[in-house]
Amino acid sequence: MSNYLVVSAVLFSIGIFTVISRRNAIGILLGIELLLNAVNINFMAFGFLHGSPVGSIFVLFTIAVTVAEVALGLAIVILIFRLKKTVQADEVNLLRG
Amino acid sequence: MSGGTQIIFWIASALLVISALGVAFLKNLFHSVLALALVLILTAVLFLTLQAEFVAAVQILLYTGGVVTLIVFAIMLTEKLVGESLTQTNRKIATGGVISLALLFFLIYAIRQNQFLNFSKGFSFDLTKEIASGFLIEFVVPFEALSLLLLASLIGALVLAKEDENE
Repeated sequence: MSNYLVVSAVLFSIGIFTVISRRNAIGILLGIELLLNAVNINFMAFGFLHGSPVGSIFVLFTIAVTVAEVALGLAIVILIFRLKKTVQADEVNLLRG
Repeated sequence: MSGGTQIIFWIASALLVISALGVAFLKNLFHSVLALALVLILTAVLFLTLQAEFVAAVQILLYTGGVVTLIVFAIMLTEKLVGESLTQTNRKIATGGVISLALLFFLIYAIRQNQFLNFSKGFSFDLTKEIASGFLIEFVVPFEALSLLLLASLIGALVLAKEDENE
């Protein structure tokens, strides 16, 4: 059982690395997908561990929230691209005073 | 867990880690998205080894069918506007590597502390049926809130991404 948790931990670390090191905003979104996926694996593993369906229900909630998050995130990326002609996250400084 | 499940688990998780590294390091953004699709499909395989067929199907349909398609659309839109293929570079590799490796060692240390994790009950019931009654009885309010969230995010995405008519 702890094998699932180790795989999930490895995925989570790779996701953190992706979020920190990618310069492209879409690449950062991909990293967030990895993070959420690792969380889903943990939920399923603990649901299996306790023989309870709540883990699976939570995974379905997470998947739906992720879809909403990706849709909004990509809309923001396209909007920023239209305004600034770039998708590099560190070139976006609209809020800098 | 039976022996066959164990073998499938190890193969799937090895491929999972490799394709996750692909997401993190591939230069072409489109290849990164394809690696992400592979990660999501292999996660569905892991769910299958946990006896959760319905969640695995939803994972493939919604994630691999929906999210990856969305991201590919976004890449194509931005690529078309730039007129050149998007390449991406990594920065702050040292910082990211140190933070993620520290996190990884901490997590594995914490997991190894808990010896009670080595047993597993498994599902002694029909999981799909239990998920359905959970959604409609115990978690019905979050379920409705979720549908509201999806509607709101749909409208929000439309409003944000729409071309401005005043310009």
